[in-house]
Amino acid sequence: MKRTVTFLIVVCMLVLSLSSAFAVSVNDKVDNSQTVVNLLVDSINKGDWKTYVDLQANINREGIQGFINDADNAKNGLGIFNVKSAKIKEMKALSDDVVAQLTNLSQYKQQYNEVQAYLVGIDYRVKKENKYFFNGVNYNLVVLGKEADNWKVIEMSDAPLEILIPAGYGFGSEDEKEALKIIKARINGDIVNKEGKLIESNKASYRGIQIEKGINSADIQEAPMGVLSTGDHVRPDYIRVYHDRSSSDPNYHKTISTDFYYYVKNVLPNEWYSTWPSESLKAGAMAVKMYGWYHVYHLKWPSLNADVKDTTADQVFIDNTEVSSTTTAINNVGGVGLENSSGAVFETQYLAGTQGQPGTQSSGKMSQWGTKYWADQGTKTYIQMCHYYYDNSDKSSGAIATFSY
Amino acid sequence: MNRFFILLFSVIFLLSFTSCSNETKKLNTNPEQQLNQSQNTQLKQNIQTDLYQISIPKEWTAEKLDGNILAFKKENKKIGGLDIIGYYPEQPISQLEPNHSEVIESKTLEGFFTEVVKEKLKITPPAASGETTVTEQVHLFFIIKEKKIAYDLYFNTADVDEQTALNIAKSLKLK
Repeated sequence: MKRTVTFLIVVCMLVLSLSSAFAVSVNDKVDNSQTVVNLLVDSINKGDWKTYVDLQANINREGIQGFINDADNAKNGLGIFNVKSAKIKEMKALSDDVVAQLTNLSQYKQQYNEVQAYLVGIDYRVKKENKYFFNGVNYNLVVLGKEADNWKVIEMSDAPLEILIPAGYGFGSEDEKEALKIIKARINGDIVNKEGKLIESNKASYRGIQIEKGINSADIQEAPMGVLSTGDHVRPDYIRVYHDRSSSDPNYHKTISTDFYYYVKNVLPNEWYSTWPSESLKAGAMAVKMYGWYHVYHLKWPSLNADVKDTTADQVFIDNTEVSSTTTAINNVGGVGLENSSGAVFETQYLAGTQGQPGTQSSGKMSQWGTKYWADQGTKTYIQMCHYYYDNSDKSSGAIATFSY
Repeated sequence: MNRFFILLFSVIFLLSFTSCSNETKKLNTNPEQQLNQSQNTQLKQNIQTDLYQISIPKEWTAEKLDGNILAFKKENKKIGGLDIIGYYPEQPISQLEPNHSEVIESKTLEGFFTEVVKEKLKITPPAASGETTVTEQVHLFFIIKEKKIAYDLYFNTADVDEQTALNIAKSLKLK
């Protein structure tokens, strides 16, 4: 019995010593990785780009080094070169279950022995306020991974305060509330600074929308007071188009910001036969408009800084090709948008289909020939055609709906 | 009785120790090791961009376009390419498919450094073009969730056989 008691004591001591060792290890993890965040922000503040690059994980280092080495980036104050000073205002470690909702934590955990993430409020002073930086406290998600016993930065991105704060993971500070206002304005298409000054906007004007509806410019009245569209329901003012279709195009291999209405007018006749019945053209007008609209909010070609290409990869866009019948169809559906059963704008993909056939129901892809088929039958309106292709598809788990803008 | 207790505690202690060590054990699932085993020796031309490197057959050419995009050509005819596309985790996989395409076959591939979805697509020109030519392409979408992008490696199936496409896909390495 004595031996048993002795053995039990030994086991308990072992268990206690192991658990205390783990406790120390967790604290060390936070302390050491936090130091790296401090060093990172300090390097930005001092313009110490060697340290800034050294602190990056291998996977990012070369790309960041390339950006730093490009003299034009420094000259034009692009990216991190825009920062005049940076100082940490507040910082907190985030638990894995929170981080998993914000980034690809499981993949990071496969690549790194240890991962730690922080919500960091950094007080920036910048050369020029833009959609990436504003003067005041900006909030970043900084994710670190352990590479050969050293903590390295694997991600530094805008913190989604609009998710973190309602979920109770914010700081509750005044700076944070101000940053949230800026983020909310950004979601609505306005890039504003801390003082609420508009820096940049991609929101169509009331006048622009009336013109899209086919109303004569001279007849347009003052904008009425009312509920404004928000989020991705705000009709974009312009779309960035990468010209890749023809080497004879003077804008070949350039990304051009194009008036959104002009874009839709110069796509539809290149996609739908302009001689087709009006309901078919209206269905096409909805698909073309909402495809472009979706991509303004979901940039498709990040390395080209373009929302869409002017080719069949997206929609065929050719300058000055508008036709009256297709423009009339666009005017007739002006002010009407499409949303999926979750209330979000979705990618209204389409394909040619087969002449004389309706195409596949709920495929998530409208058939161009299918819209001609339905219009000839006279059994479906353009909205019913949209329902036929997009309801209960990968784009919308239930029925799609229209919204006004 | 004492011996029984000693034995019981020893077994519990050993078991708990074993389970702890299992938590830190790393499985040897290095995809690069697996990929090197099937490296095709025919891919003798290594293409380097700022973001990635990839190997293609020596008789092909790779045209480097803006934004680290590639166009593969054989005897001056475009037979495939590599695009970089925005990826949004909350959106369906069809977000990666070009407009005007229809999916013939889709599957997720194993053994790559990231999630790879292979799709065989039928691509038709716009109805208004009056053309009816159908192009069949195989697309390999390398999804990089944390960067919200996907590398779209694609080939015309009439010009590039599936094994060559897969071998080229296996040679893709991000920097």
